[in-house]
Amino acid sequence: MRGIHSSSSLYYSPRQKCFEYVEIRIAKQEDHDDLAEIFNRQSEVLTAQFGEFFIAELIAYQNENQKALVAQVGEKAVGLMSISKDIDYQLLAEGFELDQYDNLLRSEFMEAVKDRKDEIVLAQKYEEIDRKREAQIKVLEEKMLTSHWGQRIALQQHVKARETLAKEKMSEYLTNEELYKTLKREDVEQMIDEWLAGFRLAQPGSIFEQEGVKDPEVNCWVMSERDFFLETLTYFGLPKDYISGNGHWHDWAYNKLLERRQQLIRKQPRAKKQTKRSKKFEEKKEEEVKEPESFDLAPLEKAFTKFCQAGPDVRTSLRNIIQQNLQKFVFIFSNENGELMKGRNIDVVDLGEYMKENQISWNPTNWEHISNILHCFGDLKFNQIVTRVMPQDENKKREEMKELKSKTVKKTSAALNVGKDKNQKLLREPSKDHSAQKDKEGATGPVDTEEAKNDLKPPGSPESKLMESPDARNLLSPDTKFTGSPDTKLMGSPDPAKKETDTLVEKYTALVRANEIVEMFSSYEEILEALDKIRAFDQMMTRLGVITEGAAVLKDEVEELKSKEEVEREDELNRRRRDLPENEWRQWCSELADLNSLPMIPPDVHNAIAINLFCIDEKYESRSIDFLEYAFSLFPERDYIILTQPHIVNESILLQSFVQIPKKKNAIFDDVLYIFHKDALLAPLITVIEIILRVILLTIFS
Amino acid sequence: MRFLDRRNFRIDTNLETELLRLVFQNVYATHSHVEGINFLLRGDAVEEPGVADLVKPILKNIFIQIPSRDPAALQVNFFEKDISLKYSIRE
Repeated sequence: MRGIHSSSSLYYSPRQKCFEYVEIRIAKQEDHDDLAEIFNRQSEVLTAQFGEFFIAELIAYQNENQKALVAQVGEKAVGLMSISKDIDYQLLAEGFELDQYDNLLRSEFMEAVKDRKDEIVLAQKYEEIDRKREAQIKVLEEKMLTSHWGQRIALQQHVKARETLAKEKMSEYLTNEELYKTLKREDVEQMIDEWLAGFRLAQPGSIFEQEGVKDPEVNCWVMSERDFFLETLTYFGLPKDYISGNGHWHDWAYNKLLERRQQLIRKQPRAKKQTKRSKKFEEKKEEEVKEPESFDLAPLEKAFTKFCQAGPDVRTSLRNIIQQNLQKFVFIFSNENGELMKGRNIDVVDLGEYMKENQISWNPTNWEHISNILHCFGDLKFNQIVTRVMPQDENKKREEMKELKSKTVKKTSAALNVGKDKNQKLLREPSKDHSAQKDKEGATGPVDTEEAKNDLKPPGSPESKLMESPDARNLLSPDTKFTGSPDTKLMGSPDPAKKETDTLVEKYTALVRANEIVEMFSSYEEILEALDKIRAFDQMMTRLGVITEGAAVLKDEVEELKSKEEVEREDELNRRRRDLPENEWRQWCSELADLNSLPMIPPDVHNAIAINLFCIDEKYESRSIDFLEYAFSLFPERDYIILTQPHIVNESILLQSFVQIPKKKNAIFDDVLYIFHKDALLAPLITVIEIILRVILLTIFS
Repeated sequence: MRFLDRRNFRIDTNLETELLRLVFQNVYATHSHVEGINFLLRGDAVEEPGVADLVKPILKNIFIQIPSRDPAALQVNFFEKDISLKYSIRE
């Protein structure tokens, strides 16, 4: 194609050539007749509804809020539009989806409203987060409080407050032999109940149900407070089923033996004759060894004392001493090169000894509590190893032990020769606590085969503790058989009376050897885990006010934790704050409390005018939109013009330029709402046209 | 826009003008934003016999002729010429 003919020409027909010019102006009284004719022609309802002179009234009562516009063609009025600024914005906002049109209000105001609603949403969200967090904390508190470890701490605090009273009561019996002989199980039960008066095992609260927590670790208590007390004391050496008589008078025979021996050593020996008298003497001896029938209070007194001693101060001190000497502590679990061996376990009963050997200094009276504390309050995990040593194997075992010991001494240094080898454990002597712990676990008791050679040492020596152990207690049970070889340690005297005593010692010793060695090995991680658990429970119980007295270091720890949490809380609150741009309406909107309504709307933010009445001659209906431009010019501060009409009325040509707004759910507004934005008047200017033709015309004829 | 051969339909110039005016009124009523209607009279069509007599009376009554500044430019091949639309996106 080679362009178009050079003699081509362009013609233009303006609208006015075919269509009369419609002028829009403010209505005047003289327009009444022309307008009344149009109104009567289009609808008689309006006249009937508003009266005969309503057009005249509309024209007459114009003010700054209400205007009447007239379309004039030539000298004749052909249309009327009554507009007003009086709009119920709240009602429209409730009935129609006007959010994307700022509810026909100023955008600055709606931004403030939106910010306020965002604040409400965020506040609700943060409130929910805080509520959940508080619930989680509450659940954790309840869980810890109602757990075994929490209740043991609570029990300890309870009985510590009555420690003096309890000890005085026990002392009454222990120091008065006649009174002691009358002591029965019922008396002890009553005594314990008196100590525990006011103590109740805490049951899980309703928070678990409210929050829907299904935690298998949360259980209700079904045991009595007394049973719980006795069960807790088993961690401190009280025999299992103590209240039923188990483990009573376990050291009775031993003490009697010692007493008798002392008497024999003091007295001059006499020639022994096998007379009736001597037979009676023999029978009397047997009776002396036979345990008393009254209730043995000594184990309870010992376990109770230890339990009270292992208080929060001691536990905190233990944690801190290990924390401060962590490098030395790690050395206990290290190899020859000082490297931590994760698989290395040690018998926790001997942990104090290892710590001492590694120059970790602590209060000497507290060493014996380490094992009890870790097990009772730290739920220490351990591997139990049971070694059976039978009397007939004694010689063989003794040789093996001797061999192992000599090898170990050669190999290891002084710092490292402890707790490194399981076999080495057999070379060490168990302590009281160890025995107690083993008894707690239901084992028959720890007896070192090597130590069996040195049994019946004086009271106070490690060996003598063997006899105080619950394992040794069982030796005098009716089922026990007196077998095994005699020990020669105490048999140096040729005294016949002493020989008799030694015969008993022999029987006793044989039984000791016939027991089991039960050891509980724990690793470095397991011990630290137990210490962490002790810390967590002590701190939580201090927070909850269960631990009230003493424990100044613990309280400092808790205070430090609380201050840290406060700082974190403040940081979080600062993070939640939003920096919003300045908005003059923010303060106005601050009282808005819900998401579905608007605050009280100030007149300054109104942004719409309403068409109250509109009528135009059908011939000029296409020029209806000309009213809008004039209406906006009368109220230049408004951006929207709105119109409501019953849904049964047909849309006029004017409404074809409007947008129909959908109703909200459950809206009670019956009419249909149409809105028109001022910028829509510019729509024709941005109509897309055919580009080639446009270019041609502009190029040639502009 | 195509013109009728009014001789075949026996329509005189005035009636034809009035009919066109009604058509235009309908256009304006339908498209209220339309301000005017253009008509390009091609030179080669005008050179054909009878066409000028047929069209020009109507154009004279309803249309206004737009003067041409550069008639030679009409012969440009618009499809081969590099014509690009300059536009911008309103943000």
